[in-house]
Amino acid sequence: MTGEDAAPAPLSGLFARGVTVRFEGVTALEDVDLALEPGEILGLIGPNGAGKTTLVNVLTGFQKPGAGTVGIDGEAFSGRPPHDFARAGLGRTFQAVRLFAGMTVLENVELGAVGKGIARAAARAEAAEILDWLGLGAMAGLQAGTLPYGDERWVGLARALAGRPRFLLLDEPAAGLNEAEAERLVTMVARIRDRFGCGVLIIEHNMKLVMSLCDRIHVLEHGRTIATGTPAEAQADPEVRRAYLGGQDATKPAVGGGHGRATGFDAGTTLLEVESLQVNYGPVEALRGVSLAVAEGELVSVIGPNGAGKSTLMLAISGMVPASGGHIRYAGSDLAGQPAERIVRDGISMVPEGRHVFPALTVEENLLTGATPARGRAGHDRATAARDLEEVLQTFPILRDRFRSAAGKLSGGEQQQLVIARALLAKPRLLLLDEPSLGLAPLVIDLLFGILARMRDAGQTILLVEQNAARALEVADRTYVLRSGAIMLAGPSAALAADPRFDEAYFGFAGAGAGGGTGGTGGPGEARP
Amino acid sequence: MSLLLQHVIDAVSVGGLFAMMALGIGLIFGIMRLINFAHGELVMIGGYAMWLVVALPGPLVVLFSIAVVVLLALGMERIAFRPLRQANPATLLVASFAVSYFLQNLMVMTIGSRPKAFTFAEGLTRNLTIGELRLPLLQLVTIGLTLVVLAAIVLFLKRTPMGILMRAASQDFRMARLCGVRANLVIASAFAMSALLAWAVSLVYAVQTGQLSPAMGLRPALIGFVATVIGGLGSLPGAALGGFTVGVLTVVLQIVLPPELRDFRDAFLFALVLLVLLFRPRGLLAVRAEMERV
Repeated sequence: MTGEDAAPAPLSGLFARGVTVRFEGVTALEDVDLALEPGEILGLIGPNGAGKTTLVNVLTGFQKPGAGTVGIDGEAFSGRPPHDFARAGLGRTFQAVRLFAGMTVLENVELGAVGKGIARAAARAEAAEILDWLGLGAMAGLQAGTLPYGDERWVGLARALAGRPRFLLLDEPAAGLNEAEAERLVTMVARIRDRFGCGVLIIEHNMKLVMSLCDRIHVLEHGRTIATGTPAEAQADPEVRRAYLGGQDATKPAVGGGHGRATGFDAGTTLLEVESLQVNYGPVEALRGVSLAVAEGELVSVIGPNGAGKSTLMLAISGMVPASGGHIRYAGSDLAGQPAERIVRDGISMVPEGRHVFPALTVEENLLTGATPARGRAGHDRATAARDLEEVLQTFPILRDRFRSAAGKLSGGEQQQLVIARALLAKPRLLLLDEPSLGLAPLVIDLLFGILARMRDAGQTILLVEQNAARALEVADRTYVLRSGAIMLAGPSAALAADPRFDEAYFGFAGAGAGGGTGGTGGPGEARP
Repeated sequence: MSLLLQHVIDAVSVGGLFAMMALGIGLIFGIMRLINFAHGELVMIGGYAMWLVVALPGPLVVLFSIAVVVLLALGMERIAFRPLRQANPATLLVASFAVSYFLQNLMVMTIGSRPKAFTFAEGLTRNLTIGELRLPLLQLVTIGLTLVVLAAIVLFLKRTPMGILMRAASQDFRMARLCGVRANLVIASAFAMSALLAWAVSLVYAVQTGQLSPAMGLRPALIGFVATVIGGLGSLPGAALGGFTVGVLTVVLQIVLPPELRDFRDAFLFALVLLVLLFRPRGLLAVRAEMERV
């Protein structure tokens, strides 16, 4: 469906033509065309690292494109400072709200108008009016720093509206909002469009919200446009589905999991039991009563869109973030309040998202660091250490070739193998893997998941978190779908992949289904190959 | 010829002293992002500890003062910095100021603010004559001590498990904990190492100047910070290199400046430091910025 839409952007409204951005050799955007007409709502979606925020930064003058043009009403603005964009009628919000904490709510909004060149008195009157219209009038006199999180986001929106922008760019406006607040946001954005007649571009990982709100959808993956069209078209587009769920085949059975291993969960050998786990980051609920279990010898995966709370779950189990409620039981004892290094010594090793090798240490030294917990255990001596190392090097032969290289010089795939090997040297009873496929090439992902399957067959207990749902379903015995901090669906992987409720659970709406959520800033650092 | 050799020895010995200072500071910064302003007071207390028992046989003086400095470093970690480990670096910095001033004023109250004359290992202050060359023995000993200490540190960091864990922790502390590395143990070891470096500086410094005062740690600490920044904050080889660079610059300025400007040597030194930072804002050996993602 991209075909006819990929024509050069029209010279009306806000436009980007052939925009390319590279950061230190990493391509964040490649030849992207986009047009936003006044009065339309355009959803900009794409998996983590797709380049969404970079595109918004280009469209608002915060990032100069390496090639291509951006501008308004046919006039090129590329290379001009952000305030020129603002004065030409652009308003934006940020992922992190960035209010001026020491000023009142009214002053924050007033500033938005003053920044667009409106006189103080007029700006103040307009700010008051916008706040009233949004139903925020009562908090006009409050200091912005004292506002609760949800209200902060509304004030950020009000500030972007001040000065009557012709184009409003919203970067993840619903992040951290609960379901009811998100619905209120949908209604409000539609009303804003109707009242101000402005074009709205919205980056959002809440697919349900995007699909119900937008007139058109623009889908990015790895910095390229892979689809544009109506929400219905985007949902039906197999390319979009593949971009979100992973897998080679763009057809629906791409999410065909199950490796055929007997998958009956045996509660008698439960190693890890998470019960009603609640984790809050300040006012934001990241996990809302998550329960799951992993039996000895199982490979269990947790899949879900970005922002679902997957990494938080891993961090909570490994003791890096405190739980606000619920229990994490491991081998019969509660892990609450245990320091992270203690949990590792007790046998839970975690490979966090983003690899985290010790870059200036050699591969050998990285591995030696990983063996720290094993060194502390009874019966561990030089001979066992050498045997453990040999075993790991047989699983990851590339590490033998790179044994004396600095880990920072390894490729992404090699680093990922190193961190898994490093975690294995702790001789964990339970291995936690957070997004091992992130930012890797398909061939490398093949290799990696082959290794995971072998580890699984060798009896290693693994809890895997993945955005690449197709791969996770293929390798895992059982799978949980996590969305918005809650488990939506669970079961043996094969059954889950065939379950008609899968799309509803994963994306938040039923249908043949385009893309699950995404968040992420799409910044260059996240898409390192 | 002999003059040139003398200058080279000057430069290397001063550079070595600063390198040890910078390493002591850089070690702690790398692991816990703490700029420990009280590092200079470890040097000062080391001097007073030697002074206190100077009547004892030399090796005992050495052992006693090392023990005092190490215990003091462990104590300040335990009492002042451990409770603040989750705090932001600015809070830690202010805490280290507090520790620094507390220790200085403790010395003023107990021993007095007047400088104490200190003579230890007097034999080191004479000159060594080799043929036509007259070399100050102390400087040679300083260079030797520096080399031994640096070599010991390199060996420790490269060869021993604890050294490797320490380097791992200084690159990515969270990840090190996820590898099962005991945070308290690694940090305490780093403070002990840092104390040993401070002690080596205090030995050389006290013997060289022949006097002790409660504020004597300030200047070496300041130079040490500058050196770590020049070398690249967070990089241990950078800290050593920065120390040597500042030391060599000091000596070169002393030589090339006309006598009437020598009083302003430090002004020129810091101007050069600014110049270095203008061209290498992240130091000579910049550390790749770590990305914090949760």
